[in-house]
Amino acid sequence: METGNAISLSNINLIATNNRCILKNINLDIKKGEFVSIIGHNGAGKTSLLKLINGLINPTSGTIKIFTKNINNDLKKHIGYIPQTNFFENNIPINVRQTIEIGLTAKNGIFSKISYSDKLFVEDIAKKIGIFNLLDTPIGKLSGGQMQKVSVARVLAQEAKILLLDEPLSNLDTNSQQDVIEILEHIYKQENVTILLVIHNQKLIPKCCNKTVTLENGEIKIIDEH
Amino acid sequence: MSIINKMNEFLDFFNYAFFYRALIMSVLAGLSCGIIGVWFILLNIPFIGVAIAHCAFAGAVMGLFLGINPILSGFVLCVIASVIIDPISQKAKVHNNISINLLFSLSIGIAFIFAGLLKERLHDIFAFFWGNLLISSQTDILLNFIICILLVLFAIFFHKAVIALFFSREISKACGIPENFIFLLLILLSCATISLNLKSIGGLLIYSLISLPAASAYQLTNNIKSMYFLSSLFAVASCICGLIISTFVHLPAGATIVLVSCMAFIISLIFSKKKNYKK
Repeated sequence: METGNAISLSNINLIATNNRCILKNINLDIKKGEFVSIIGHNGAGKTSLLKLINGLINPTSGTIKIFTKNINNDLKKHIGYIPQTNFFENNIPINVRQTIEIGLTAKNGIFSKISYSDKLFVEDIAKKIGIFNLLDTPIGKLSGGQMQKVSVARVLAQEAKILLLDEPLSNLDTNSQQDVIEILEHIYKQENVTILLVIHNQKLIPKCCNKTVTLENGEIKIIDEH
Repeated sequence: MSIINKMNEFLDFFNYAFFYRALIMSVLAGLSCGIIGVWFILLNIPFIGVAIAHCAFAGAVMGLFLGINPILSGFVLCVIASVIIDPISQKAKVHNNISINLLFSLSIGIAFIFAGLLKERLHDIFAFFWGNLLISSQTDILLNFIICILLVLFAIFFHKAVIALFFSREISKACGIPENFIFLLLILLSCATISLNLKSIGGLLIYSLISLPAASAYQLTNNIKSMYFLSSLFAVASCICGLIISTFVHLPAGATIVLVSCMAFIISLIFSKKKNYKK
């Protein structure tokens, strides 16, 4: 495992506009190459924690460092994010290939052209994830499990160094859950990535996970190193 | 009047330069509204479009009252409207639709108060309300041509980023795509398009020309480039058909254009590719 911190959270507090404390005094260091699972009940602050790390929301107090730097758009290119739910309209005219290419746009910049080698790269990722036959399918036609695989392919195309995965197994049937877990384990072994996985069901935590963080009412209760 | 007389009367229009200008404006207005319609439909912000179209109308009426260029004042007011929707919602802790409703009501109120104060110019005010392609000037054509070029260039050069926004603004922001900047550009171009078409299509009707052709195209394709093409095609066809029908049977052009685009939408529903999609 590489040395140094990928993510460093110091004295993080997050208070909602109605004065409800969402996260309280969070101190957490995640080393490069670690696989960390975050567990906790609904409303424990798991999703808010991920959104703080990728800069979607700002903390009320405290500091967040990504690779020892404050979060900025350049650093965000290295963070792949899969949200809890997909917000797109069912019939949106975007296909799987275009969705994976969003990762390339994030990595190479908004004016970059998709080269022939980029196309091959996207196809390689799709083969690796098992969605090659779906590349021209509109995303509105995909099942929940297929869509989660496409989301994983998108962050792989981004060549993100940190993956933030917010309950990627929710709303999936058992077979799809197992498929996605196997893909995550494979990515963790093959790619040089740090993974933060928010997960509701502790039984589904991948075997390669080396740290489990338990959140309760916005506070870290247990950090369990495997 | 017999149909032959009507036909002769209609063909007479081709002897006048204003009718050719109206036809050119139909193409340009259709093209620009067709493009921004795709953005409004796929970004799922149809009501923002309605609100800024009405704010543009209110701004134009204010401009007439204050003696400044109504297109410019319409543009300024709809830019202000599009920029303050989010802050109002956040401050009042209400959904964006409530802020849009507020702006919609405010703009209609402002428009009619200034209309009441400008009774001697009601004809000009109603021109911005209903629109009239037949009064398009060469300057209108030039400005609309410029905005069409800008829209096409934006759609080409920002294509990848705009797809990311269509997919999810949250994911775009999370992975470092400057979604706020792109969204702002897109809204500014939309405001400029709406303001420039106030005189030809009208503040009340322009939103129909933006949303209906794009909604029709949305029914027929699963490809974004095809959607741009079909949306613009339907909008241009609606404008030209509307103009010809209205000239032929002496109806208001803007209203006829909107009815034609409604018909196109109904037909597109029949041939929709989306109706068999699972939910």
